[in-house]
Amino acid sequence: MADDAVPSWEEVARDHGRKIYNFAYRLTGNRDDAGDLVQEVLLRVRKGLEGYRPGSFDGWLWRITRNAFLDDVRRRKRRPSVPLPDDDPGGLAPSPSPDEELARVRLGEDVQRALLQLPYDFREAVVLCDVVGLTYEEIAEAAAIPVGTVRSRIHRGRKMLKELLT
Amino acid sequence: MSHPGDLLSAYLDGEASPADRRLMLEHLGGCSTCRDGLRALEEARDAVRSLPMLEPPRIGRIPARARRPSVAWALSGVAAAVIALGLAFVPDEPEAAFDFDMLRDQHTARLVVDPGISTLRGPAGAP
Repeated sequence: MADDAVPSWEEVARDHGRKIYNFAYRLTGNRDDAGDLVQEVLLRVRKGLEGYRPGSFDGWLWRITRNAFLDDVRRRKRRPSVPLPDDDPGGLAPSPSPDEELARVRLGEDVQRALLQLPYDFREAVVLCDVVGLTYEEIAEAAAIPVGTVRSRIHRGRKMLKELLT
Repeated sequence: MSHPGDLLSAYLDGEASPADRRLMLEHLGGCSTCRDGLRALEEARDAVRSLPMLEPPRIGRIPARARRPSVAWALSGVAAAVIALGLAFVPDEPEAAFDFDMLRDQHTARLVVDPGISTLRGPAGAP
């Protein structure tokens, strides 16, 4: 998206909802939490767009997303969560039966489990880079940290992941 | 050049400066430890990148089935011919499917179940 373009709310929902959901799911491993985050972020975006000034839209959006996520993490620490039945298999595309697909799913589960073992800062940097597809500069803007810190977190996160997956 | 440390990941991602890239290339040519390290980082990166992108629940969307062709149409000869020709493409989510009122209603419904999930005071809360 061009830096001077201000998207409509519908465009944000359509173009970014899926990535926001995957960001939250890969950080938490929980579909309900991820769905809640998408709702929360889209509501904040709706309000925030009124005052948005053209600039780095991705940096702005992911700062909102990250703040919403961290708010949620803090809230859950303060109060016990209310578990909801995890009865919506619709989030996952139906998997074909061949062994190859099964192996791929198992590998995905291993990677997800390994991601959840990373310290939060490393996990977040890796997910923003390799799941969401942000540049180091965009991650730095979203997380309000220097680019050098982003580089270090991604590097250390990947090293830990590799050890966990070996 | 000493071992490049976290520059390896930046190099892998195309995020190293041109000068750093040149130094890295020279260093990698003579350092098997860093070549192995680079390969390990690439494997970790590819493992995460190969995770499937999951479809979110229909948040703020008008149910797609309301727009899908009827069963009668699907069973018609026209549909069969189209499918046979490999031309049956019905987009699951047309572009204008998002609806803010629906999102707000879904969010309100979730708040009834779990009032703690949102810091927003109503849907117009500040970001």
